[in-house]
This record gives sequence, structure tokens and C-alpha cells, in this order.
Amino acid sequence: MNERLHELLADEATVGLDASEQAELEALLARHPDADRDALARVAAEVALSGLPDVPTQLPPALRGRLEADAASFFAAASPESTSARPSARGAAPPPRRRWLAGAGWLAAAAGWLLVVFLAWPQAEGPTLAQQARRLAEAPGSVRVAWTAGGDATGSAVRGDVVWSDARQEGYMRFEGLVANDPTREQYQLWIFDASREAAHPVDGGVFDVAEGGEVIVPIRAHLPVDRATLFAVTVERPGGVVVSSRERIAVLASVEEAEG
Amino acid sequence: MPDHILERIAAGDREAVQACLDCYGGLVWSLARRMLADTNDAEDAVQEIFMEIWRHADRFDAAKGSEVTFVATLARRRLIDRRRSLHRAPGLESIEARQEAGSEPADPAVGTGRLHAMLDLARVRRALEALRPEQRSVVELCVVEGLSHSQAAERTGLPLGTVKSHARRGLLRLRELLEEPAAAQAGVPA
Repeated sequence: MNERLHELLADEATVGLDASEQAELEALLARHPDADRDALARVAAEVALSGLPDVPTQLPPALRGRLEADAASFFAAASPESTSARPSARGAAPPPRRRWLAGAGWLAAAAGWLLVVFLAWPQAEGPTLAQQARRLAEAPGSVRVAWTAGGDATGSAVRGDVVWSDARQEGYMRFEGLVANDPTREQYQLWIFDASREAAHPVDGGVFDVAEGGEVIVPIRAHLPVDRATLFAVTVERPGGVVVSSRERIAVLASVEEAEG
Repeated sequence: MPDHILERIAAGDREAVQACLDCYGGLVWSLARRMLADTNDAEDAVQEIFMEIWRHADRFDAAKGSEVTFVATLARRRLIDRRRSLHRAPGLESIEARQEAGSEPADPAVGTGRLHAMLDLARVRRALEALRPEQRSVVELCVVEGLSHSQAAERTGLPLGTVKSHARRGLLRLRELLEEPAAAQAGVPA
């Protein structure tokens, strides 16, 4: 098997990957469909378990109570007779729609989305990521939303879209015209606003780079589960990304709620 | 009646939730406390991990590994992602101190799973001992203690590239060792 594939799988199993490494891994896995993606992760898990005491520390009672409540909500929502939405990871009721709009900066930037022409997903054959993105776009329950300018010059001429599936926790971003970045000075970072989370704390979707020219497709790897994505935002941040964005430089936005009307 | 707890979960057996928390709650909590310095982060992570277990229990494949390995693999993936998103390193206080903070002490009388009953830990430890010392050290720092490559380099004094190489090759070697028949690994003719 490819040596680089081994390296990336080992790194993923031990310390994790950044967005560009993740994209590289996905591309290599597509070329090596027989590879057991989780084999090294299972080895690492067993090594981690070997470092625990034979009888691990018990769950704190309050946490166990929350886990039981989460499970009750999950199974209630999953039962055929239930019509309620899936519960959030934190077991709380989803907040009202458009809660994310509380951020005035995001609102102002999102308002321009209507001016953008919706682009059809490319029909021609393309790289593996394009094929994966196209398959996801055709899957039931997935959403596809065009990017809109976010106010920063880097995104002023962007075309493209984002496709995402809450059920699969999988997504891809497609860009044309996003200004190439110098990774030593700044990187793009994706944020996913989730109906189950406070607007002040969107899910970090990872950092990525854009080279000169052509179409770029970036797989999304949300660092936390996303129950119902409402807005995708790409900001310009320092190399490596940030934990909390100042939201001073918003390159592009894609509002699921606005697109769904 | 499915043999495995996760098969029962996947079949919608709500009573399996208690069994799952009894067996795996403590170990997921312990892994979270090792990898995340902040108690609130660890508690949030454990909630997310169990939500994933409820959702993806049907992905468990006994042919690929034990149930506890499936749970720990899923947990570690989520914890690694969370730690990277937080840009935080594990805390500096001792693991024992962290285990004592905000949690109940281990009680063998309670129905929590004993690890040695769920996984052949001796086999894993033998495989670790078969690694070159520097490989073993780096693998243990990165996987058991949850350090990044950079932190492991600082701890060992090794160049970063060497640490990455030891972590990768060490893990690959462990895979080979763990895939060998048990007798061969123990040095006994098969």
C-alpha cells in the first residue's frame, strides 16, 4: 500500500489530521478502496485502553444522568411513532430557527445572498472529491447552498457551493475565484452554525488553503457533531486557525435556512 | 437475542443503554479525562461520544474487533477532533488527580466493565514491549498520554521528524504484531 497513505492513517489514529491532510487522505483512500481505514485507529484504541486501570473511573452521577436522558430522547425520536426532531448532542431542545442571526455581523454579510446566481453542480467528470460531492448532493436529506460574498476581498468573486448532510456528517465545499492564500500568513477556516448550538459557538469545520486558479473542492470535517446545519461561513484566520473567530474577515457565507426559504 | 450490547442498541433495545453505560461509561470517561484538560470539555465530549454510539451502533462489526475496541476507537476519534478544535493540550496535573476530580472512585463491586475481561490487555502490552524502546516511548506519549507530536518531541528531546517517524512506524509495527497469531507473538511455536 502507498507509504503516504500509511503515514496519514497513522497520524489520524494518533494525533489527528488538519483539513489539507484530511483531503489528501480521502484522495488516497479513493485510490486504495481495499484499505482498512480504521485498522490503525483500532490499534491505537487498544493501546490507549492498555494504559487505563483495569477498573476505569466511574462516570460522575450527574453526567450519567445526562447520558441516560440523551439516550431516552434519542430512542424516543428514533421510534416510528415519534414525530419529534432528533435531539441535540447536549440533550437540549433545538433553539428557535434563525438564532444565529443574533450576530449582527453575520446578518449583514448574509443579507447579500440573494444577489448571487445559483450555480449548477458541475456535470463533467472531475477529481474523486467532485464525484463524492456529487453523490452526496444526490443523497436524501442533503443540502446544497451557493456561496455568497461575506465582505472580505478574498471572497468577493467567489462562485461555488457547499453540500452537506446532517445525517452523514459529511460535506464538501466547492470554490471558484476564492483568492489564493499564503499558508504561512493566513488560512481559511470553515465554521458551521448548528441549530442546536449557540450562535456564538459555531462548530469548527477546519482550516484549508487555496492555490491559484481553477476549481477547488475541500471536504468538510466538522470537529463536533452537527445536528442541523443552518449556516456555513468561511473566515480568514491566522495559520492553523483559531478557536473563536473575531469574525472580522468573512470570505463567504452559505445560509441553509435562507436557501430553504 | 443479540450477543453484543451494541447489537441490542442498534436493534432499538432501550434496556441495553444501562448495560452500555455500565460497561463502557467509565472507560470513555477515563479516556476523555486523559485527553481533555477541562472537566466541562470532557463531559461535553462524553455526551457527544455516546450520542454517536447510539446512532452508529449498527456499524459495529465483530469480525473486525471487539466491542470495547469499537467504542474506544469511536471515542478517541471524537476526542482527538475535539482537542484539535480546542487547540489545547492535556492538563499537566497527574492523571490520578484528574480522575479524582469530580468523579466517583472506581468500585469493582459495581457493574462497570473490567477491561481485562473485555480485551486481551496482556497481548497489547506484549506487543508494546516488542517495539524498539524509542518507538514505544513515543507511541505511549502520543496515544496513552495524548500528547501531540510537538509535545512528545519536547518531552523526549527527539527531533520532531523523528518523533513522527517513531509514532507512525511504531503503530504500523503494533498492527503487525497484533495481527499475528497469539502464540507467535508470545514466542511460542504455533
